[in-house]
Amino acid sequence: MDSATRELEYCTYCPKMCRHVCPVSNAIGSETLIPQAKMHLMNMLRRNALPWERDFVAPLYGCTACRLCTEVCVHGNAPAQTLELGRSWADSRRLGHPALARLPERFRARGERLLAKLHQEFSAYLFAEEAQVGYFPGCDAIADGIDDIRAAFAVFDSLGLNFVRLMTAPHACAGYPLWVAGQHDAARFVAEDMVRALERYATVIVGCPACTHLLRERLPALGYSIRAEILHVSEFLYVHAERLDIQRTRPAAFYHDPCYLGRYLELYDPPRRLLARCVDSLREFFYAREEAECCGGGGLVPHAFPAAARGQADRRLEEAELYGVPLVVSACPTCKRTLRRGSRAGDGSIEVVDLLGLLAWALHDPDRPALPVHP
Amino acid sequence: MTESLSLDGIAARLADIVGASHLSSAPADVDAYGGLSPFAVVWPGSPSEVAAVLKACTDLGVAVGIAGGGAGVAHHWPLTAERPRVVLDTLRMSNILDVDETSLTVLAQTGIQVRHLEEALRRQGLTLGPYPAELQLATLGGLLAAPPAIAHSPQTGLFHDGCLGLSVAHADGSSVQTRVAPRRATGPDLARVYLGSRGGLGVITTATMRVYRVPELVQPIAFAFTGLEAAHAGARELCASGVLPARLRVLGEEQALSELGDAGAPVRAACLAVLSGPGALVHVQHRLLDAILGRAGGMELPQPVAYRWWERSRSPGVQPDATPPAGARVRHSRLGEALASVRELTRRRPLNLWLDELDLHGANLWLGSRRAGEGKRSLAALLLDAGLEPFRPAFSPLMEELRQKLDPRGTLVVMES
Amino acid sequence: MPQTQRYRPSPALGSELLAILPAERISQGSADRLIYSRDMWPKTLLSVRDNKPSVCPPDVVVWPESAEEIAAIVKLCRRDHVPLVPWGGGSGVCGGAMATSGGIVLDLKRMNRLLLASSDDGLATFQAGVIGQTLEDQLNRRGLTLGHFPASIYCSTLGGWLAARSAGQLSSKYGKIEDMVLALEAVLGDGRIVRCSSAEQPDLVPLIVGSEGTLAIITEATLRVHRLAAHRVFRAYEVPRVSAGCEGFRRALQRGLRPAVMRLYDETDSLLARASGQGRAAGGQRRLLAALGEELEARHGERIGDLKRLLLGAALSRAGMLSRLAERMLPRLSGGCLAIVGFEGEPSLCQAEVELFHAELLGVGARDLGEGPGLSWYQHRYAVSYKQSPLYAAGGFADTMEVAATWERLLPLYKSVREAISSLAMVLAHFSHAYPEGCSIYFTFAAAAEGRAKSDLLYDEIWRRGLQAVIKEGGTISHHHGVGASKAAYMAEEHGPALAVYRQLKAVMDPDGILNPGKMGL
Ligand SMILES: Cc1cc2nc3c(=O)[nH]c(=O)nc-3n(C[C@H](O)[C@H](O)[C@H](O)COP(=O)(O)OP(=O)(O)OC[C@H]3O[C@@H](n4cnc5c(N)ncnc54)[C@H](O)[C@@H]3O)c2cc1C
Ligand SMILES: Cc1cc2nc3c(=O)[nH]c(=O)nc-3n(C[C@H](O)[C@H](O)[C@H](O)COP(=O)(O)OP(=O)(O)OC[C@H]3O[C@@H](n4cnc5c(N)ncnc54)[C@H](O)[C@@H]3O)c2cc1C
Ligand code: SF4
Ligand code: SF4
Repeated sequence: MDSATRELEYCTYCPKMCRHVCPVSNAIGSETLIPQAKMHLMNMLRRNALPWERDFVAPLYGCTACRLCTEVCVHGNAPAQTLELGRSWADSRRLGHPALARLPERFRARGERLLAKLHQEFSAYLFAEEAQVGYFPGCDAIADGIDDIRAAFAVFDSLGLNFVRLMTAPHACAGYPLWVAGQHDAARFVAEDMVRALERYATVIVGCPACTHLLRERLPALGYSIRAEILHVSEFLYVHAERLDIQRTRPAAFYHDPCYLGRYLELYDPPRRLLARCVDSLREFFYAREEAECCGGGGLVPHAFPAAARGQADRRLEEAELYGVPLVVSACPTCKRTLRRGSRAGDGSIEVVDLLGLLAWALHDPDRPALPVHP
Repeated sequence: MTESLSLDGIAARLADIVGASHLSSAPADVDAYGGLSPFAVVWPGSPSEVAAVLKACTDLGVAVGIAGGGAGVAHHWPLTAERPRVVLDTLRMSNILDVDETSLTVLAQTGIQVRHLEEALRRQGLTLGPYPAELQLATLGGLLAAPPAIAHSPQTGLFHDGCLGLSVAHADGSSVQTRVAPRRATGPDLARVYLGSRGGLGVITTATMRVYRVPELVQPIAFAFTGLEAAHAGARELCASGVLPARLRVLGEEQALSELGDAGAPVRAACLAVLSGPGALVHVQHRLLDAILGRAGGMELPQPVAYRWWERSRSPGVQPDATPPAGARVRHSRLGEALASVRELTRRRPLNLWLDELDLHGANLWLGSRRAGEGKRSLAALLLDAGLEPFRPAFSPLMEELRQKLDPRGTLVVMES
Repeated sequence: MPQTQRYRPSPALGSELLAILPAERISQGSADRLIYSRDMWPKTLLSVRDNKPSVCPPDVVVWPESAEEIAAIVKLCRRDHVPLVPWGGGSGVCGGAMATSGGIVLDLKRMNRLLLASSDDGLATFQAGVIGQTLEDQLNRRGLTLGHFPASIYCSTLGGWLAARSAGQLSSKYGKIEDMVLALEAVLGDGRIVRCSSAEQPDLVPLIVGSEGTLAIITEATLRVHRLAAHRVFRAYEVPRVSAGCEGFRRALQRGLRPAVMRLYDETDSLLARASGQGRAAGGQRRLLAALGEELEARHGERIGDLKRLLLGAALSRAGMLSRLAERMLPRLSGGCLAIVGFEGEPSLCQAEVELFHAELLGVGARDLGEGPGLSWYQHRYAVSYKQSPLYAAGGFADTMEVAATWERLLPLYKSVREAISSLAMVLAHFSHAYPEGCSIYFTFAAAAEGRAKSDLLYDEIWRRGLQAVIKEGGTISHHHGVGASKAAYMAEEHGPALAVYRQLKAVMDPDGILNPGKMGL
């Protein structure tokens, strides 16, 4: 038995021992979207005990790849990874989720649009074809967090790290969505481009935790040779945390661990060290660190099961509301965007910000002129 | 099919079942059952006789009131439609059928008086549990069919929760017996249908009760407080701490005076506890209790005060007050408020106030009066005025529907409060 | 599988439901119907293994969000006699949540909110669809605990616990779920919404509790909650025999001690329990397997290579023989029976209770093993639930039979059940829910047969013989898993004439018989 088959067989016979953590099924209460059921369906498809039909395939897309189930599985099964394989099987049978139709084309088009936006927003001198330290913010940051990218430079400058340059990348995104969608051929093209581009940097700091994981762990594991040191931006900055010239703080904030930063990369403390500088009281969710609930934004779930993504964002912010802390901070552009789609953020009762934005805010003395902003 | 027979004919039919000497229409016997005004009383001697009597009565269109010891208010039977009425008295069904000393259970017929059952158990080093002495005159069947609020101990819970199984005869003469097991997951707990059914669903003929070994050590303890609120706070903390006294009472000033007598010093409020169990455990519990009640502002009263209270409260034949007290269940979080409003309403009447049946969630707040003529109903009205809901057993609509299924001809009479 | 007469869905059903629920909370999709076609009744896994995953598919699945919506659905079902099956986590192991006659499965998991938690009054109110661990976490956040820890806490719901009278691992201290519930809200089979509380007499709560969806759909429950324990201590012992262990437990409980955890493993289970705490097959298990291997080699001249596979796969087909061998060899192998106790609460009380307990166990000849095995058990307390996968994947099957009796009947019951099934399966047992008046026995049996048909037959035969033995010895056929479909045929023997009272309750609460038809032997 190969390892995917073994996982599928074990999950099929498992009494659903990880269902309580799955953000997707928790958000909408569907038994069909618990890890065990998704794996079971995939296994039955694999065994040809079920016909390859859209209805049976669709649940395989209900996974944010948060890896919470793996944390509690005694067998160490990883539905996130196995279901991705299932989606690739579905894709090869042209049974991909309708919400992801023509994903490679859409990916390319969006990427071009975002790259153009990035170049438009930042002056050319901030880009470098080749540099010691390149900065790759990731697509969602460009789309929804351009101010956070600016904030990052404000922070770099304040620390004298003015050698950091935006990476001149061939894509706005390293291809994470293509991988999780099971569109592995398209994903490989992007990966090859990225690998080539990375050769021109000694260190690349990445804004998006999913792409940090992709470039640092997944592609090398698939045999791509990446020599550049890949760091998440919080990892790059936290060694300087004590040097930050903090001017003002917020009273309290909850820190939301992004799945990829936490369970995948095990970077729990760097963002906390930074955040602790700009809030008086750093609050921890009941489910934090290894157990942190997913915001609902991974795995393209917001496309395939939008209600689940929204429901999960709501659930995550509930605790902040319960304890009357109106600020939630994450270190991931996708988390910020997903959490903001929840009703508690939507109605303004909870503010969701990116760590970088908050850091830049804290560095700014309101009595003095604003920090120089790029461009 | 209803046959019609004369009263004499009915009596003869019933006498055939129970034997002529176990049926009486003599006024002296019949009058004892007050409001129901039965024309006869029957004393069946076994569950099968009970079933046969019920069947005959149903067939003959006779209404049946069930009587245990009559300690409850056996006189509040509603007047049924014009038809003959008999009382089925469980007096003769007083055998102890089995004492299982391994499992600590007793199987007994339900007409047995609690004190007789307790005496028999004590001879084997066993007891029904640390329940108040006021229950002694009731029958086992009465306690199960109409559980009084006072049948409770923080340590062992409600008396009727100790019922592990029972057998019942229905109006149509059918009988059922529930299986005895420590716990089951085989559907609804059917024995519970009959607990609290006040004779309206069938006659409980035998019951298997949990029993306990007589405790190795019993330690009464009395604490004085400067106010009821503080005493309540201490008692509540005790309930949450896992110290489970066999008895636990919180008394207002008047009640403290009447229960404790001269305590050496004026007592504004008191908390009385009885710890029981293995010596080593009781000692530790005592230390904890001291700490908890001390923290709540209590001062321990001399041991003789506590022992005197304990002895007095245990002796059977404690006279029920001239006026039975009225009580209401109140949650801990609402008790402060409830005490305040009751006190406000009783400022000019020296009423006795105490809390009993404490558990994790709340307590019963009791109002009593030592003045004759202070009707129970007026006490209950006072509780109502204070925004509290006095105990008033009533069949829920669903239970009423079940009653109609089990007894479609309405043979059995449900007692009212 | 018990397929009762199947309801034929009216084509209008879907559109009529749309008048009650939005479209996204109604499904007739094939994946949903397949997933909701079975619960965790192990026998259904034999069907799955045989590539027949759709066991008893419902026609429609709905996700209501309020008692009012449920009442409206019930009324619709009443009109057309549509079977309606409440569904919690689908973790029941008796087929209780299976739509054996088709119809509508009503999933309560969208009703999962905490409505009230009061530390002062020691109670909390939840909607019934909340998943166990989520419920406990919500309480823990507030410094409280329910004290209910079934091995299925990750996969079951409050409503399912109440419906099937669930028991948790700390039941000796906190009780079973029926001991924790103070009040309920439920929708009856006639569409009425009722609220009942244990303050009423007669008390309806214990009648709805345990009814496994046949009388009412539980929508909300108020539960007794406790402060989180400040302190926990474990002790483990080796007792010479099952009977000595039971005796020690009984004496301790009857003296008034209330350990949170009490577990006594019989000789076979003890070996596995000792081994499992350490993750990989260790000490005891290896010894058992090695010994079994030796014996087999000696008898058949076979060479046993992978001992683990031996247990899980091929050897299971000779489980009966293995089990008999094991029993014969146990005296040589085992250090008797393992007993684990744990106390929690106020430290000084724990300490006093531990000492008293200790004395009781030494009195029956126990040897102190310190706290290690207890801590290890606690750490891996849910691990056992994951274990069925490898066994099924290897071609075997396993199930559990949790029965109970008063102390006096307990050991004869234990012996009879073992005797009845050990020629068919490998049997382990532990005693883990003990009360002053009796105890439950949790039998685990594992076996294998070639192919689906033979496996089905063997599976049924084990259950038949086992439950017959239980009834003969005066025990109850279920202590906490419930009856559902799998034990329905034994209800008449379990209850005798009293079953008629249950039927009357059914006639009152579900006059048209739409709620979970075909279950519980009604
Ligand atoms: C209307 C009413 C008012 C009460 N008021 C008080 C009070 O003010 N204070 C207090 O402390 N307690 C009160 N009680 C409770 C009383 O103390 C208990 O009911 C006690 O158990 C009476 O026992 P007994 O043997 O004297 O039964 P009885 O008083 O003779 O009967 C009590 C009830 O139980 C039924 N019953 C008796 N035996 C059986 C049986 N074997 N099977 C089926 N039904 C049976 C009777 O029909 C009757 O409805 C009251 C009870 C009732 C019913
Ligand atoms: C690995 C494993 C370990 C287990 N360990 C334990 C254990 O330690 N202790 C224990 O007690 N059980 C255990 N069980 C059994 C199971 O978890 C329990 O029976 C649990 O109570 C079922 O809950 P559920 O929410 O999954 O209910 P379901 O399986 O969905 O339903 C069970 C029954 O209840 C009915 N029902 C569900 N919800 C409602 C509702 N809201 N209203 C009315 N009826 C409803 C269903 O119709 C069905 O008849 C275990 C099961 C597994 C698979
Ligand atoms: S991942 Fe593990 S716990 Fe989850 S269903 Fe699969 S085997 Fe069970
Ligand atoms: S990885 Fe996360 S979203 Fe995916 S199945 Fe597991 S728990 Fe659910």
